[in-house]
Amino acid sequence: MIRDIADYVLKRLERVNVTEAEVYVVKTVRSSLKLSEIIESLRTSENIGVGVRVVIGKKVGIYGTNDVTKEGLDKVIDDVVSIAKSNPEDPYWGSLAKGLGKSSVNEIFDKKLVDADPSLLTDKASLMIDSVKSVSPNARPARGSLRIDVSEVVVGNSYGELVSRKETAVSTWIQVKAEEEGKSVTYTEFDMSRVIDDIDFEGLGKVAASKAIEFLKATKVETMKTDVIFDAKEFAHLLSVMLSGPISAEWVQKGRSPLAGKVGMEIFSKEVTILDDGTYPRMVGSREFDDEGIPTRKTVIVDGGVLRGFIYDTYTANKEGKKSTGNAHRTISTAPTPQPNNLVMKSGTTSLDEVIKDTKRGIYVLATIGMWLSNPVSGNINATVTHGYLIENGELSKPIKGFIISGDFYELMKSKLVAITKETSRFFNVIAPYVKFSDVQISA
Amino acid sequence: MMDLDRIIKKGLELGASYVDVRYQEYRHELVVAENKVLKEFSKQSSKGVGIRVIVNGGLGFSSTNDLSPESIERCLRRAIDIAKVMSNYRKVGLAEVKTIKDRVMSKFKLKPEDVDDELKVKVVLEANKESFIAPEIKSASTYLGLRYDRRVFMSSEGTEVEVTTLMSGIHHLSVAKVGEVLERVPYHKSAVAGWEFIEKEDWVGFTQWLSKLAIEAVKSKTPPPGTYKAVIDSNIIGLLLHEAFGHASEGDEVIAGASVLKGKVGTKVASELVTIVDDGLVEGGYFVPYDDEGVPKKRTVIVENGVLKHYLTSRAVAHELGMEPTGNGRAQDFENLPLVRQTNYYMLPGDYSLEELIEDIDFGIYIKGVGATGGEVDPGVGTFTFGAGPSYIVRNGRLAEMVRGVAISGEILNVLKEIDAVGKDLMIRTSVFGGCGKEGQMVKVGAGGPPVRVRKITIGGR
Repeated sequence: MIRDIADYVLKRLERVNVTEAEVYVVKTVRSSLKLSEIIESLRTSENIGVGVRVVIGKKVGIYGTNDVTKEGLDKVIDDVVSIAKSNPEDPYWGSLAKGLGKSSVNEIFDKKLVDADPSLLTDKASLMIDSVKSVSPNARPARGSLRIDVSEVVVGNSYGELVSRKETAVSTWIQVKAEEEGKSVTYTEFDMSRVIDDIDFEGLGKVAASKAIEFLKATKVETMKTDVIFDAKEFAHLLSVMLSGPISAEWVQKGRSPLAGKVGMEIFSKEVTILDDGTYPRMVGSREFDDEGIPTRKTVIVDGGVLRGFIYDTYTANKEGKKSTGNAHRTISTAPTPQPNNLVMKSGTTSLDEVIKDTKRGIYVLATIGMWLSNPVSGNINATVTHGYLIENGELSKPIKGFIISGDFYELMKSKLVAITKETSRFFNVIAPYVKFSDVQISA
Repeated sequence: MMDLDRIIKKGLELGASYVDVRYQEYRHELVVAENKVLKEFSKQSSKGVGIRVIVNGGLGFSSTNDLSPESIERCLRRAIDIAKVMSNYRKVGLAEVKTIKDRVMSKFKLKPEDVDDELKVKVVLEANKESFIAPEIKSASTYLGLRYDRRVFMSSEGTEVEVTTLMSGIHHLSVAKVGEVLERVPYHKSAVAGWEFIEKEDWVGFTQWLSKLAIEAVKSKTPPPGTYKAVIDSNIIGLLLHEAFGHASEGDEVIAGASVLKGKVGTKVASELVTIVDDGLVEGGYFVPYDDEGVPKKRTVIVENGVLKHYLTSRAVAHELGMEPTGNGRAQDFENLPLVRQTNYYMLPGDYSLEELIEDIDFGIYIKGVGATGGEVDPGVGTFTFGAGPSYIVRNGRLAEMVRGVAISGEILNVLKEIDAVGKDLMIRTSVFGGCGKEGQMVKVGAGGPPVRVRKITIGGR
C-alpha cells in the first residue's frame, strides 16, 4: 500500500524538471492506552505520512503531507517544486543518498502486535495496575500509558533504488503515588522495546509502587563531595543528553560540538568504549536502514577512551567526502539530520554488588528530573536527584531526595570514573552499565 | 466527499448505541526568516476521519488518514472492538443536546493556497531585513503562518455540522544587546482571515516598532522587586485568565481534583467588578461556532460580578458533573478525542479609560504584554509566575520611565479580588502560531480583556 504511494510519487516526479528527487513514506498504526487507577481510555490511529524532497541545482525543497488522496499527492509535487525554487542555493549540497539497502537486524518486528485485539493492551495495563495495588494499600497508580506502534517505512529516490522495512515498538510508563500520614511521594517506572514479551509489566508496577512507598521515608542530604554510583538507566539517560548532539557530524560541522577536532584523542577513561549500533536486537533505535535508505551498522565512537569518529547522514558525509553511517533521522516535513540509532556503552567486569560493597561512603543516584538542563555544549552536568540512596559502609543505607548533582561530564568520564559494572540497563535507545565516579559535587 | 452517513449506519449495525464521525482537512504553511535570510518554508497538510462509538457504555475511538473504503471500515471496527473491551473497565454517558444541521465559514477573501509562494517569502524577508534599524539589534526572526482548517461532524443523533476556518498572521522577535544586557521582544498579530490580512497590514512598521521597543527596553532598568499598585493591560489579563483561571474552570480538571475552583460554584472568587466569559465567537478571537462534538459554542458566563457560575464542559464531563454541555469539547484534529478546552476566554469591559485607571496611582506600574515571555502556573492552587514585556513605572498618576525584566507572580484568586477598576477598551487576541496545550493536544484559543487596575501585585526581577 505505501509502496504504491512511493511508486506513484516517484513516477510523477520523473515528469517535473528537477535534478534529484526522493520520497519517504511512513505508515504507523498506533494504539494508545491511558491509565490511572483505572483504564481511562484506549484509541488507535492509522497514519500515513509522505515526505518529498526535490533538488533543483543546489536548491532543496521539502514538503510533508498526510493527505494521501491522489489530489493531495499531486499537490505535493507542485508545491515542493515551488518551495525549492523559493529557497536559496545550498553551496554545500552534494547529492541524495546512493547505495540504498538493508542490514540484518533481529527481533525488531513482533507479529503479535499486528492487528492485536484491544484486550492485549488492557490486559497488560490491568496487570500493571493490580501489581501496584498488591504492594501496598497506600500506593496507587496516578498516571500512566501504554503504547504500541506497528510501522512500515519506504524510501526511494531518483537514482532508481527503493527499500522498505517494518518494525514494531512497545512503550509504557507508570507513575505511582504513595501517601501516608499526610506525606506523598511519586515514583515513575518506564520501559520500551520492539518486542512486547521483553517488557515486564508486573515488575514495573511493583518496582514503582515499592520505590514510592520506600521514599516516603526519604530525607535530605548535606552539600558535599563524595563517591557517586549512577543507576544504569540514569547513566544511560546522562549519556543520551550529553552525547547525542556532540557525536553528530551536524553539530561538529556547525561548530557546536565540544568534540570537534578531537578525533584520535583520549577524551574518556581507557575503560570506556561506546558504539552507535543500529542493529542491536529489540532496541527501539534498531532498524534495517536509516531514513534515507542507507543500511544501519555499528559505528565505533569511542574505543578505549579514544574518540574514533562521528555519526553521519548523507548530507554531512558528502560535506567531508565520507560515507553516511546510516544515522539519518527525519520527519516527513524536515530535512534528515544525523542522530544516534542506539548508543551502546560496553559493560565492565565487576558486579554492582561489589561496587557498592567497595564504597565506604557515597551516594547512589536512582532517578532525576531536569537532566535536560545539563549542557552538552559546555559539558556541564546539572540534574536534580529526586530519588537516591546514601551508601554507608558498603551498603545502601537510607533513601534520600532533593539534591543537585553537578560537574563536568568530560572530567568525570576521564579522571573520576572508578568502576563500570557488568550489568547493563536501557533507557530509550541507550544501553549503559552502572558506573561509579569519585569526588562528585552534591548540593542540598 | 465520502459518505459519513454510511459509516454511522454501519456502526449502529455493529452494535453501537452512539456513533460520531469527524472528517477534517487542513493545510498549514510556515515561512521563517532569520537574520535577513530565508530559514524555512514548510507546508503541512492532512485529510482524515476519527470515529467515536459507544458500545455497552464503553467508549472506543479510532482514526485513519487512509480514506479508502477498506481502511475506513477497518477504522470503524477498531473503534467498536475498543468500545467493547472498554465497557469492562469504564462506562461513559453523554449529556443530551439538541440536534443541529449547519454549515459555517469564517470570513475571508483570499485563500493562502491561491497566493504565490514567492510573494509569501518576499513579505517575510522584507519585514525581517527592515527590522535591523540600529546596531543594537543583534538578531531578528520573522514567521509567517497560514492555516486552512475544514471540519465536518456527523453523529448518529442526527447532528451535521461543518466549520471552515482560515487564519493568517506574523510573529516577530527582535533581540537587542547593549553591553552585557540582552533583551528579547517577541510579539505577533494574527487574525481569523485569509491572505487579505497579510496584505493590508504594515509589517515593516510592525517589526521596526518591536525593534525600537527592544532597544528602549535594553537601555532601561529593572524595577525594584516588591508589591505594586498596577494597571495590567489586555494581553496580560488575558494570559492570566487563560492560564491561571481558565484551566481551573475546565470541568475535567475539577473532576480530577486538580482545580482551585473545585466546589466553589455560587461563591465569590473575584472582585464584584469581574465578569469572565468563554465565547466561541468574538471579534479578535478564534472562530468556534461549534465544538468537535457538534455542540454550539455560545457565550458561557464563568464568573458574574465576582461569583463563580459555571465550569466548562464537554458532553461526557457535563454528564458526570450534572451540568449543561457548554460546547467546549474540542480536539486538536481528527486523530484525537475531544477534551474540555477553552475557546475565547476573557473579562468583560467596565467603564474606565486607560488614563482614568492610571491617574489615581501615586506610585505603581503599568504592566504590558507586548514582548511577554510566558510563564508557569499550577491550576491546582492557582499560583502563577509570568514574564511581562517592557512596562512603565507610574508616578503621580502618569506614565514615567520604561522598565524591563518585569516578572509578576501571585495567586490568581487573590489578584482577581484585588481588582478595583476595570477599563472600557476590550481587546481579544488569538494566534496562528502555537495555541494552548493539554494532554498532548494543541488547540487554537483566544484570550484578552480590558486593562484592569489591581491594588497590589508582586513584581520580581528576572
